[in-house]
Formats: sequence, structure tokens, C-alpha cells
Amino acid sequence: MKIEGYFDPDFKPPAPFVDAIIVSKEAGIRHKVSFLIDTGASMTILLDKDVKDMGLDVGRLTKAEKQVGGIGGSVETYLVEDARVVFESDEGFYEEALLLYIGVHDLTGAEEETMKRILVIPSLLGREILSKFDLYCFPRKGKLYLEYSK
Amino acid sequence: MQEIKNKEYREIFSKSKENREWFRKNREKLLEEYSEQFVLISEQRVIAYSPDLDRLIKMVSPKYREKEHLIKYLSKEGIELVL
Repeated sequence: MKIEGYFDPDFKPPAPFVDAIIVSKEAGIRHKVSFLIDTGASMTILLDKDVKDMGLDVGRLTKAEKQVGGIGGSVETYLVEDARVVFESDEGFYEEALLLYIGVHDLTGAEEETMKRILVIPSLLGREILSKFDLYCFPRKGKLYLEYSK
Repeated sequence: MQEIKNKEYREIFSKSKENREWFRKNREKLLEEYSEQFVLISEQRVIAYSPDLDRLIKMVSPKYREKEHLIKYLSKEGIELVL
């Protein structure tokens, strides 16, 4: 089973992405998210741009005990415990439960440049999901896919 | 029930792909017109644009917010990230 990704040319150099639908009753969301495939990230995290786009009220969510570091400064982290991620594959839909992290930067009083720098950071698809697949990445050919086999 | 869900998922992925393809084809033109701004694309056209993401989101009516859409930041320099 193959899940096709793509390289986003807005990033320099083009960055590997895959689209997925995130579903959660707890957070009241069912949204498509374009995830940066980040083999350096331990977990999957929704970040500011997508959080704002979804109109997600983080006040309703549980604050994570562990804070996440390394995403452009200090991030308030919340947890969605009933989330599911849905990918479209060549054999139908592939659905997986996950503990979803939501990361929100404090942008109060931030300068416009800092704000932009933070708001262009995409949500990250981390290794807890990526490790279920084999990742094939051919940047020179512009091809990218995740493959799952039992 | 599963069929309804699958139909909904199929529609989301298909519209998302259409918007992404449209963006890819028109990227150079959009870069000229909306450089250093966020743009919201739905139904293969630009619905709103602003240098301020919060303002952009407020500008768009719920009719478009609920539809499958794409928010992109257009920068001639390209986005560089080190996470």
C-alpha cells in the first residue's frame, strides 16, 4: 500500500509533504492538514498556522506535561487524546490513532518578521507515525511515498 | 456509515489535490501578484489575501472556511526552515 507525498516548491530547497485528514471529537476537528515529513520530530504536532485555520480552541484541551522544544522558540503544548490521522493510499484509506500534540507559540508583542517566521512553519508528521512505514524519497525525480506492508 | 465517511474523505483529498495543482500551475503569477502575503485558495482561485494571517482568516466567510481550502505564504525568496 502506497501513500503518495509531494515536494512543496515554496520551501528552499523543496520540502517533503504529505496530506492527511485529522479527526478528533474531543477537539471538534475534521480537517485536511499538509504535513511536513519530519524524520527529526519524535511526534506529530499541529502548529500555529493550522491551529488558526481550524479555529481550534486550545483552552478546551489538556496541557501537555512535557513541553516540546526546537520549533522556533517556546511553544505551549496541548494534547488531543482521541485523534486519528487518515491518509489516502492506492488501496483506499489508511487510518491510525495517535496522541496528537498541538503547539502554539506566544506571539504577543512579537514583531511582524518574527510572527511570519513562526506562522510559515508547517505542522509536522513525526516518527511515531513515520516509523509504521518505509519512506521513499527521490527529490531529484520529485517523487515521494510512504509504503506500508504487513 | 463507513461509506459516508469514505465519500467525505475522498472529496476532501480530491479537492485538496485540485487546489494544490492549481496553485502549482499558477505559482509564478501568484508570486508576482501576492508576494510576501498569505493567500487562501478555494475552488481553484484566490479567495482572500493579506500579509497578516489572522486578518486573512477573519476576512473569509464561513462558506469558504468550511470548504476545502489551502493557505499559502508566497515569498519570492522561498521559505527556509531549520527545525
